[in-house]
This record gives sequence, structure tokens and C-alpha cells, in this order.
Amino acid sequence: MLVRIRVPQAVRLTLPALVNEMILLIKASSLVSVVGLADLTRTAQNMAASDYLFVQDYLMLAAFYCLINIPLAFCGGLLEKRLKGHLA
Amino acid sequence: MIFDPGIITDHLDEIGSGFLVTLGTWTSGVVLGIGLGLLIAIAQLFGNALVRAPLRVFIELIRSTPFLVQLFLVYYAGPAFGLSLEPVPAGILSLGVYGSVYFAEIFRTGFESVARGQLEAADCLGITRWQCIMRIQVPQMLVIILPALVNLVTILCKETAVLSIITIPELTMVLTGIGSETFAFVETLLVLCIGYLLLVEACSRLGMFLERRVGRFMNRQAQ
Repeated sequence: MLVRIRVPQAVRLTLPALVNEMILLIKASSLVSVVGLADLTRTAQNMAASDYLFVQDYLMLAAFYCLINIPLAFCGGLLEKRLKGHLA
Repeated sequence: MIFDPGIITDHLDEIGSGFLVTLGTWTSGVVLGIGLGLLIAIAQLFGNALVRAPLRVFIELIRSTPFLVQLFLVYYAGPAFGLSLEPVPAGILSLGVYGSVYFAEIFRTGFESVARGQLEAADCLGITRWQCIMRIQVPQMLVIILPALVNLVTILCKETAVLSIITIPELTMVLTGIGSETFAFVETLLVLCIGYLLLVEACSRLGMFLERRVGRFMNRQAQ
């Protein structure tokens, strides 16, 4: 009952909020660079610190985050449309 | 592990100034964000496609990149575009721009929630579009969007902690600095939490108070 009835409906209803929260989390993950984890942001910082190409490096960094988040939002929207018919 | 309140009381004036800087950058960022957001929302709702398309792209770009990255772009990459700012103005500018797109989305839903009949009535009465926006739509939508607005303002308050990375001497910068000088991380970080808790709590209390006030006003109008 839980798996076949409640979970599918809950997923369908909470999908927009879920996708939103996922994007927020991905953006918040940039903050782990502060404690020294070599994530995307840290790597870009290191590159900028060694080659002084601040504009290129940080624009690339922003582009990478867009590359993750925009498709995620797009897929979320598609999935929402796809699931719309399954629930009144 | 002994809790030593002396570390906090010794640095009380530094912590106070850090608190004020946080408060200052937060409020200026929010004011800038609300101003820009209102402009973006109005341009999106009433502008032609030539205005709307670039704004849509701008909103998507800002919303899908982290605040930290935007801060780096303004502060470190800004000078290459002739935008050499001190840390504090750079922080306020990025906070304002970051907040503005979220404010714009909130304002847009607010504008859309005011009944169309009222706009048609205003049109019939010869009220200009600008008057209609400022006198009819904005007051009503402010009531509707107030909870969302307070929510975003508290989020921006917590976002100001990131400003410490570009050396703005705000609460986080000051307290982590004291922490690394004295190795008293528990005391300093606890006070840091309490500082943000105070700010956010005060803001949400104010929001609840305002909600009750305007709620009363709305109820009276409905009767």
C-alpha cells in the first residue's frame, strides 16, 4: 500500500519542491570549498590563484553550476508535465 | 572542555561592530534587492518580448549559480570589467542582485494574484498604468506575499555569512578570527550561532506582527 499508492502520489505532489530543494543544495555545496574540500569552487579558486585569469575561471565556474542546475530544473519540469495526467 | 566566557567578554566591542556590519550589509542588500526585484517584476509583466527574454535569461542564470560564485565574479572578476569595488559595496551589490531575482519572482506571483477585474475597472476610470501599479496592485500584493517576503529576507540574512570570504569584517569573519587567535572555537561559534539566531528571530517576529496587522486590515476590507 505504501509503495504502490502513497509514495507515487507523494512524489508527484512534492516534485516541484523536491527539485527546488535539490538545486538549493547543489548551490549550497559550493560552501564546502571554505573548509578545504576540492570541489568545483575550490578548484576554480586554485586555478584563479595560479593563473590570475579571474574572469575566465569564475565565469567557467558559474557556467558549470548552470550546466548542472538548468538541466535539472528542465528535467523536473518535464517530469512534472509527464506525471500531471496521473493525478487529478 | 571548559566553556570560557572571558574570551567573549574580552572581544565584546569587536563582536558588536561585526554584528553591526552584518546588520548593515543585510539591510542594504535587502533594500537593493527589493528595489531591483520590483523593477524586474514590473518589466517582466508589462514589458515587450525584447525586454522579457533577456530578463528571463538573467533570472535563470542568477538562480542557478551559487551566491559564493556570484560574489567571486563581482569581487575578483569585476575589476576586469571596470567594476573595482571595496569588499563591502561588492558584497552589498552581489547580495542585492542575488536577492533581486528571488524578490522578482515573488513580486510577479503577487502581481498575478490581484484580480483582473480591478485592473479593468482602473482602466475604465482613466487611472494610468503606473498609478494602477503603485496604488492598486502593490498595496494588495504586499499583503499576499508578506510570508514569502519574510522568508526570503531571513534567507538573505544567513547568506551574509558568505560575505566573510571576501574579507568583509562581519559577524562570521570577526568570530572565526577570534576563534583562530584563541583556539576557543566552541565559544566563538556558539556566539556566532546566537547572533544569527537573534537576527533571524527578530526578523520573523516582525514578519508575524506585520502579518497580523495587515491581516486585520484585509479582513476589515472584506466585510
